[in-house]
Amino acid sequence: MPSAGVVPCCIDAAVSLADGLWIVGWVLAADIKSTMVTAGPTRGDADLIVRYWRQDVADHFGIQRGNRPLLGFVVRVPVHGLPPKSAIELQFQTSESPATAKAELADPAQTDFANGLRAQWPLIGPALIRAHDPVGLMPLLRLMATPIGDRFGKFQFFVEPAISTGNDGLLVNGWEVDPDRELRHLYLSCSRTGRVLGDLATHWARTPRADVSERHVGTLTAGQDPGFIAWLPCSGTSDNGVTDHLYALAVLKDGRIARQDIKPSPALGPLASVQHVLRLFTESQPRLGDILESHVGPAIDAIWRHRTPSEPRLARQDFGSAPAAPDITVIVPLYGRYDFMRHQLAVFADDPAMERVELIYVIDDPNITTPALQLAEELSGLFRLPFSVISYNENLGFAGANNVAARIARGRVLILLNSDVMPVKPGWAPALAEQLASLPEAGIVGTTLLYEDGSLQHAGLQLRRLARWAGLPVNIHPGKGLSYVSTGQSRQVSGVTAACMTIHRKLYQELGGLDEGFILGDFEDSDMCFRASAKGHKIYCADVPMYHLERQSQSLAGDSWKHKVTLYNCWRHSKRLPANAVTSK
Amino acid sequence: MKRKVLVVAHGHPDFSKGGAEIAAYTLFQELNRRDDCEAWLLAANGIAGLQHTGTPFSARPREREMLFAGGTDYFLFSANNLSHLTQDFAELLRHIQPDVVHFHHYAVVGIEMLRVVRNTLPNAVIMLTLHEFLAICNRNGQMLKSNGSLCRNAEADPAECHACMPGRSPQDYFLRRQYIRSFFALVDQFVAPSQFLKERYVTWGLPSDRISVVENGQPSRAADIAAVDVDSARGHRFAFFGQITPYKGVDVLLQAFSQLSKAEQKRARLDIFGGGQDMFEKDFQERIEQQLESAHRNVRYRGRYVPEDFGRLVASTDWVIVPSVWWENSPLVIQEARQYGRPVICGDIGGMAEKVRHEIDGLHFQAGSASALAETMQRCLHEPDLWVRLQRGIEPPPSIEATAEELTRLYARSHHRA
Repeated sequence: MPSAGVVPCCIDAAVSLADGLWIVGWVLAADIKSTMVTAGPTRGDADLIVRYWRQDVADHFGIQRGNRPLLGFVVRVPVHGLPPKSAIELQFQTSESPATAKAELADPAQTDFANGLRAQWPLIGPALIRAHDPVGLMPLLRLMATPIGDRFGKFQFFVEPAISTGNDGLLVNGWEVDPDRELRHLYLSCSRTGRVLGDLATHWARTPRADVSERHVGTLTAGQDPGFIAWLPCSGTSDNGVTDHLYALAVLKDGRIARQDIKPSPALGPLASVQHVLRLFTESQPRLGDILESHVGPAIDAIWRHRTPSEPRLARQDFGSAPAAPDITVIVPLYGRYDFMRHQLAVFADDPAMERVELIYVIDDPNITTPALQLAEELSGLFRLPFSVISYNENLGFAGANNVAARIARGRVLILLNSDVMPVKPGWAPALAEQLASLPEAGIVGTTLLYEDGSLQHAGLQLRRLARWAGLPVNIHPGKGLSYVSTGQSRQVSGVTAACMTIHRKLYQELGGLDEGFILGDFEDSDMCFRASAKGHKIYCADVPMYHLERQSQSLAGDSWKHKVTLYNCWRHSKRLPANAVTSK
Repeated sequence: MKRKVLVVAHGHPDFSKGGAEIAAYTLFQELNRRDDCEAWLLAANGIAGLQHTGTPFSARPREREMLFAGGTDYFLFSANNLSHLTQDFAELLRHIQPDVVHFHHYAVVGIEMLRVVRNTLPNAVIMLTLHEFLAICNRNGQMLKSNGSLCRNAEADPAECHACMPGRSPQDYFLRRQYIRSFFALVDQFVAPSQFLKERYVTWGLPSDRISVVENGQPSRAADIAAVDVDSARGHRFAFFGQITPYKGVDVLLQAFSQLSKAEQKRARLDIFGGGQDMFEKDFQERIEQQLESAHRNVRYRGRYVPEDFGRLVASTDWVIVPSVWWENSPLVIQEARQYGRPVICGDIGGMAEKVRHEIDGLHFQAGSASALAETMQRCLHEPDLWVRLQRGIEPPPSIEATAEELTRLYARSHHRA
């Protein structure tokens, strides 16, 4: 029993980490009122103290547990920047006498020190993480972590390189096998800044990973999906180097800590990032709705929103002299197959009404700019119909291409037209403009589109929930594939395709054009129709038939990521719909 | 004031002796013989070594005969070099100032030429002679399906074309038809050498009144036409003249001959004149060779011939057989046989059936059927008066003079309308 006035106290280890001075030791005092550390001229009070049972100390002093419990201590003092070997003095105020101990700071790089501390860790760790949010203990936890491997028994995990979603989050995926439910937290942290970006275990959606399931066939129970995907919203993720210095720290319930250094993220442009994200799930997987809603959806939203704003360098070439004051501007984006221009011009050339129409082709595909412009020049000499070609150095997507052309269009009425749409009869353009002018409160007029075999392709859009897409509303084309019977009548509909869409230029501008947040062109037409409707305009489908050689301009075969782009666009579209947009059916 | 006619062809007979090239050239020559015409010829040629740099044109060493560096794809017949058309050809038109531009083809020259004429000379009459079904059918214009059956899809329905030739999508066939039609719409008057061809194109979408049926007349060869000895009782000598291709049915003919009885084969004779089999698959070549080898010794393969030799060769035969398994349009060999007074035995379909009148100046058999042909040949061998009767029914084929006369009338009529 120590004499009155001197409380025995000893420092086992002291080290300066990023968040302050950590001191581990023991003191024969049940209650500590305050803790102060002096290091030369610097003084500081502890901001954290955790007590735990030290059997070795108890044995030495013959103390029974329960008599003077919790002899050990861990304190942290927010004193920064002390070099190793600095002399420090620790002073506890207890309800009895003060206790003091002196020590020299260890070098955290010395493994001796870490090993010494690690020997105590089974006692310290659980006490620490029980009492404090581990996020506040990162420097120490990191020091105490063991690289993940087979040292953790059945528990294993792996985090793939993270994708920065613009500057406000990270999308992380990987797998985790934890048959005994040992995991408490799986932190994602940056070793350069020391920031904890989030706890994956509270964010993730679990996904199937057949390869992992196969490797752990004995340990995983059926129905447990080892994969995970998690979007962590957090700022500054595109700061220099953040994604190059990520590590994952698994904190287990028993206090053990496993660490994995994450490989630097590949440098990806926005589209490649989107493609990468889309590869992380399958359309048919469980929890598709949650994955879209909480992870993939917001992540792609962020990637696309934060992409470097386009400043396309527009080039305009006018072939022939455009009509002086056109009433109508027809806008045709070209992507991939520019030879459709040849086919359209061959038909437009003998339509007298086209002489009064401003025709603008937009090359939205830098890969075809040179041959498309050359063809445009040749075709101009042949067909002699005046038209303009806008080209630029990037791919803006369907919405962007139309928006660029709409800004320079002179017509009072815009007709957005796909390059694979071919009129059935001359005079189609003024016929559509006339419908727009005469139908009551018409804001947008689409039209009847036919397949090349004469069957119906489009006579207006209708939203319907798709069960296999987590109940998201998709646009269906009622009557598609059926024999077309001409009615000559326009009908009011909820939406029309932009494959052929007639709209007042003024309204187009009021609506801010087609929404460029949809990727690669999809749903922006329906979106625009709902936005126009919200402003009180009506949407009609006219019966001015046109052929639409649908999907000839894009090759979809075997391109599953494009299907998933559609799924993303569908989700994004659903977020923007008015509440009553989907009629039950 | 002479009418200026520019004849445009897809080849020049100096380099390529196809029926259409010869027809175009014959017309060009005949128009120049007339005193109301001044004809020019522009014939495409694909021989790169003949071309000069910086111009698509070169000349033959005769007045007003030019060559044009053509080249098109074989789907749309779109010119590989549009500026040769929109600039050089347009310049040529401005230079010649023809009243009529008469196209004998659009392949090789480029279908866009039709529009260049309309752009450059709005008042010129545009004529187009249709030589086969190329605009309708991308399978070499044969209208013969890939499984060998006859195609009746004259609408060029894209779904049916795709089913026959799946290499291209229905949308491609739709665009092909739309593209070709857009240029054909600029033509003032079409000329079809047979009523059958005309009907096919009417079904395809051309207005009936814009297609005139005018046969490609033959230059008269009065000196060649040795008097046919109609009195001698003949009828056992059969002959085939033409290209040996899978469409011409030589295999059907050889099979038919083998189906004759031993005694009949001994009495009959079959001469095969022609070549070209080496242009086709080995399978086909081998089949023909095998058939010739195993045939009766009275079947003789006589090899290639040149058109000038036809009269001499046909003199030693009685019947000319046209066993084609496709429609045919207006086969030259039928006109030649008529010119030399030989009755023709041909399939009962398309242009050949139209040009040979059954039981009047020739005989029809069920096209493609060897046994039907064999039966017909048996009639020839056994019916004593048949040959003489049919021989007497033969009328001479239209002459080039008559063709030119009729076309000139069409030029005038179309000009009036234009």
